[in-house]
Amino acid sequence: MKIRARAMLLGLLPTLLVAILLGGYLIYARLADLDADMRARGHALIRHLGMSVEYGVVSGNTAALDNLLKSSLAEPDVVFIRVRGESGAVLAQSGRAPPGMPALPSEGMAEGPIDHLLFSAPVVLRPKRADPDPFLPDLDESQPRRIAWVDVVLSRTGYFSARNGMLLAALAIVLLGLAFATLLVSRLALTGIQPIMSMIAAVRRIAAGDLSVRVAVTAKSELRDLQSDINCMGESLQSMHQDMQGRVREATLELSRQKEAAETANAAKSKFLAAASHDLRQPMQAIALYVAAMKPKLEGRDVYKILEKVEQSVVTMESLFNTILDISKLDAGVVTPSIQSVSVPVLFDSLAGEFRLEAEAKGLSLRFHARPLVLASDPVLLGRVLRNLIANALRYTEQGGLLVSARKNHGRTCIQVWDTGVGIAPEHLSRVFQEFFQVSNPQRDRTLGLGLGLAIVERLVRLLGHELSAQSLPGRGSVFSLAIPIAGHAELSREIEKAPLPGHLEGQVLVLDDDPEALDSLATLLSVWGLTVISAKSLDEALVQIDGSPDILLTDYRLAGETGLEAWERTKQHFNWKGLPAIVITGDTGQETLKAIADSGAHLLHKPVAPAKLRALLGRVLRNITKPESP
Amino acid sequence: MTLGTHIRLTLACSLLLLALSTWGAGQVHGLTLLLSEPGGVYQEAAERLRDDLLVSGEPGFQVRIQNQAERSGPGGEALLVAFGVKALRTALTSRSNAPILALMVPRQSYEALAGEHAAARGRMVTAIWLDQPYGRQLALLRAALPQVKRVGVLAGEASKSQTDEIVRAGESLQLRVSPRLVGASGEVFTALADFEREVDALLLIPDPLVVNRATLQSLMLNTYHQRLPVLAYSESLLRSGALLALYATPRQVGQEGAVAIRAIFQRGEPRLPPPAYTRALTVKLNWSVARSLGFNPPSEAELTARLETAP
Repeated sequence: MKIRARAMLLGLLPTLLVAILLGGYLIYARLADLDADMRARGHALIRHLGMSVEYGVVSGNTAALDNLLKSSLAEPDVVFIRVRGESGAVLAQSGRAPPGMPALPSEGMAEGPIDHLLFSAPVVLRPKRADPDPFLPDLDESQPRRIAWVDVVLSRTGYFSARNGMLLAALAIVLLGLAFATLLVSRLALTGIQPIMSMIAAVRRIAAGDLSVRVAVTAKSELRDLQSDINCMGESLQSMHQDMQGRVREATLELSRQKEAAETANAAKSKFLAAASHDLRQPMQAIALYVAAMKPKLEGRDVYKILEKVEQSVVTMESLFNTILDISKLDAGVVTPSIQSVSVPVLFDSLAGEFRLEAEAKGLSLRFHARPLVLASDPVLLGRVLRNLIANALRYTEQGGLLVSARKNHGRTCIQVWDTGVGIAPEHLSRVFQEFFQVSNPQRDRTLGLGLGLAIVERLVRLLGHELSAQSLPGRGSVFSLAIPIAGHAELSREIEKAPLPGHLEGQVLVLDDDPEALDSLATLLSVWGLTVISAKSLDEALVQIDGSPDILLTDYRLAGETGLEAWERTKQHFNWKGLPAIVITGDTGQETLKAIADSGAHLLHKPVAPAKLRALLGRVLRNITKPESP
Repeated sequence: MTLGTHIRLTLACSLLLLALSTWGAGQVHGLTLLLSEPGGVYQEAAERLRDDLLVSGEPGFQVRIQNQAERSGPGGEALLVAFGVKALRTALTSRSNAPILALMVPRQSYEALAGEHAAARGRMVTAIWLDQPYGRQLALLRAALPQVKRVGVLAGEASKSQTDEIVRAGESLQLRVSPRLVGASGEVFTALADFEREVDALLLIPDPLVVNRATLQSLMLNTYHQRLPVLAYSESLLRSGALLALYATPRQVGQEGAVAIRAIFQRGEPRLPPPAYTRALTVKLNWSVARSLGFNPPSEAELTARLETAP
């Protein structure tokens, strides 16, 4: 209920209640008095008449009786008087008997028909003597003698009209009082609560956000303090609001500054990594290519072993670089997974072939247990995840073995890599996916890797949208689990993904690189593989040397004056062969560069290029080319 | 009756008397019937008297009815018949020498007036008193209520002279009469209370102190409460609550007057008899009172017969 209605009710209800109760009680009391008075009058009149008519009745003086009855009829409310003889004969009567008057009571009072009271009393001849005469016992008449009856009928019309009048008057008074009370309440009480109403309105507006609202300090009672307090509260809220707004602005500015700084730092990092990759890979690649080129020439000599160790070191270094490059690529977000159906048995077969020798070398068992399942995943990225996990397990397992299993679990495929290795302490378990974290390699032994394997795994799994978890008991072993969506059952035909290594490569390769060392090492390697190589620092230089169209263009991305892609485009135009394939080698990890290469349709190889990878790619591309007829 | 009617009546009577005087050979006696009040009982009695005189067929009476207030100077009549006390007083003071017959005048009043005037002027006056003789009244009481042995009488200053006579009348009837003298109206009820055990009946006699409009009802009520039967002297008192009433009606008075007048003029010159009580009587009973008080008297006719045959 609203405060206004309450105040009205509070003001009016007691008044109304008191008025009604008091009025009702007073009317009731007054009516009871009137009624009692009327009955008393009736009884008094009948008593009086009983005595008064005694003379008339005894003397038979009807005139006297008539006079008496007539004069009594003038009494208020008396409408009918009658004197009956003892036998019942009417001696005298006055007034008009009410219709439907019942037989009058022998003595006493009765409620008459509609609005009448009937009284009846005997006329008694009083005793002759109070004390009996001992000498005349026969004449003794100490008993009163009943000689007649008097009946009186009183009309209650006056009573009812008085009652109606009183009710009307009471009603009028109540209404008048109510009207006055209403006026008074609305004037005084509602004026009294006006400050409260205005305060409520103000508080509501403040709650709605209008902090500028203020209450007029008008009250003279305690409400005055409340009004002032509400104003103070409003001011405090307003200043707090303004203060907060200022702080939010500052915080936002600070955040945007930090964001800019972070973005700048990130860009700088990417730039650095790109530059570092490019600049460091160039010599690395050169070494690798030289070593590869030297190997057939030094075969059988003493230095061949040294060369093999150099090659081993180069491979390790290349691997380390690749790992760093992978992390950097993943962080740069340039790797886009290509989700397709992946056959688990095929994948496991490939992995088994890759790691069997290593496991045997360490005296460990390596078992694969696969059901014929087909996963929805990127085969390359998933293979890298599993390779990292298996390599990691082999690295930290000295006895026992590994089990790689795949099974259905809750509508997904769960691939697990079990090992009986050293295990991971519970406090380290959550940190094994961080970069450069190695549980038991405080000496940073490079042969144990950089500690990036699981970090790459974690990033790849995240990229693929799979779930990764690890459980371990120190000293007993570890299990890494992957949850992957199921694509369906694999066809049992074993599609060999791996293309068989081409035994002999044929074709003319145009090699472009502005770095002479890289160019030379690359050309040497390709020549060793049996390819016809035309190498140049730029396309213009190459075009001078070349006669016909090359079968493939192998170019560095960054050339002097143009990009590898631009050179490729010019080459295609020059030889009028739009289908000329190209392999672009780059050490850049910049997103724009990688995207540009991917969009152009050229094959991409990152520096440092593994010779095997280059050879495989060349073999595949050269097998599939269809050169146009030379003009 | 209005004044005009009186005049017409008087004129008619005069013409009739004139005719009779010229028709009859005998002497014609002029009579003036002087009324205390026009109309009422006086008129009724006078007319009865006149009618009785004239209807008898005897010539010799010339009757004139006159209101005493209209009387001025001598009337020249042979007999002045006064009806009531006022008329008697007028007759006594009139300049006429005609003898006077007073009717409807109580003995007490007659004696007072006659003593005052007639003796001084030597006029012939006689009366037939309106009162019933006390002996007759007490005899009626005996006849009606044989159980009554003691009779109470209330007398004021005006009627105290009567009490001895009443007592004597009672003695002759073996009734003990107990008179009580009252000095004022208020003493009536005290005296009545004194009668409580002394009397068996109350005899009312005309006395303004005892019987008046103010006291009448209370007096009657008191007698009811004491179960005292009341013998009254008029019909109005009977109606007012007395058990018995003994009186002469105006009609009886008129008849008796006519008889008396004839007797007066029997020998030509008028010869007046001495004043006497009326011989006419009417007995009336209030049966309502009798019932209420539990009396069972003989009928009015029987009582009347007993009185008329009484010595």
